[in-house]
Amino acid sequence: MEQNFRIANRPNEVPGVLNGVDEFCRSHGFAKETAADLRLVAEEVLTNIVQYAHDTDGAHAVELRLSSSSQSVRMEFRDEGTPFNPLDLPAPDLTAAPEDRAIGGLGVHLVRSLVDGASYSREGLVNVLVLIKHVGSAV
Amino acid sequence: MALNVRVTKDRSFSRTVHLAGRLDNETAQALDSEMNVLTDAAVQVVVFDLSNLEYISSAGLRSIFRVQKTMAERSGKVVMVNTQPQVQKVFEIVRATDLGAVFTSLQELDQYLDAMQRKVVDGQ
Repeated sequence: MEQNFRIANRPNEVPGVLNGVDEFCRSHGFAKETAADLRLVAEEVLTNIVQYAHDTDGAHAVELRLSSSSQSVRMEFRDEGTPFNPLDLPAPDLTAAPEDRAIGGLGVHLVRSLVDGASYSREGLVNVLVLIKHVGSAV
Repeated sequence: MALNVRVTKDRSFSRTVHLAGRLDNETAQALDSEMNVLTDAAVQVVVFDLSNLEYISSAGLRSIFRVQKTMAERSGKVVMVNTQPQVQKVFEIVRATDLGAVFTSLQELDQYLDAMQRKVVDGQ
């Protein structure tokens, strides 16, 4: 089963996709915990893309392709931004003092911690990030 | 479900920030804008009551870290109470729990604040 979301790179378009991810999880009977994790992963990746991926002010399409099997959910994020592999980012310093922790890297760290598989590729002008999460059922 | 922020003054030196809903990129600003109450230097302890917070993302964490920074600068404290499982998991991933005491009940928190109140009174 598949569902695709396509938005412009605007922060106010992200919540609609996140609610769509919730709905996808509900309709597939995923556990509440799995649904929250998937929403969080989608928020972190999409927020990064709409905030940082594009150098120019024009509207650019950002896509999320969701698909699921009985054991896992596959999330494919596609954007035409600057080539960027978030999986290459170093882990944030989690032992730093609070005032130093507000810096970036937290979102990507959360994503890497919450998924079971991740890969990045550049297809022509497109960043393609594929994330796999094993799912539990609600029953 | 958005975010509901309510700040209560429990003791002269403490404020409790009750969060309900989701603390994320869309709502973190709502928390930030309520935190001007902390400019009162008499505030030494900020309690985050997370009983009804269902979800937090990195944007929400950054807002909480900012409060921790403000309080650390005046040698104050930030404590968490009644963290729910999803939020607790995120705290553990980013090791936020070592930044402040975590209480599992309001009673336990009250005992802590009582002890602190005695210290404040004794210190005067």
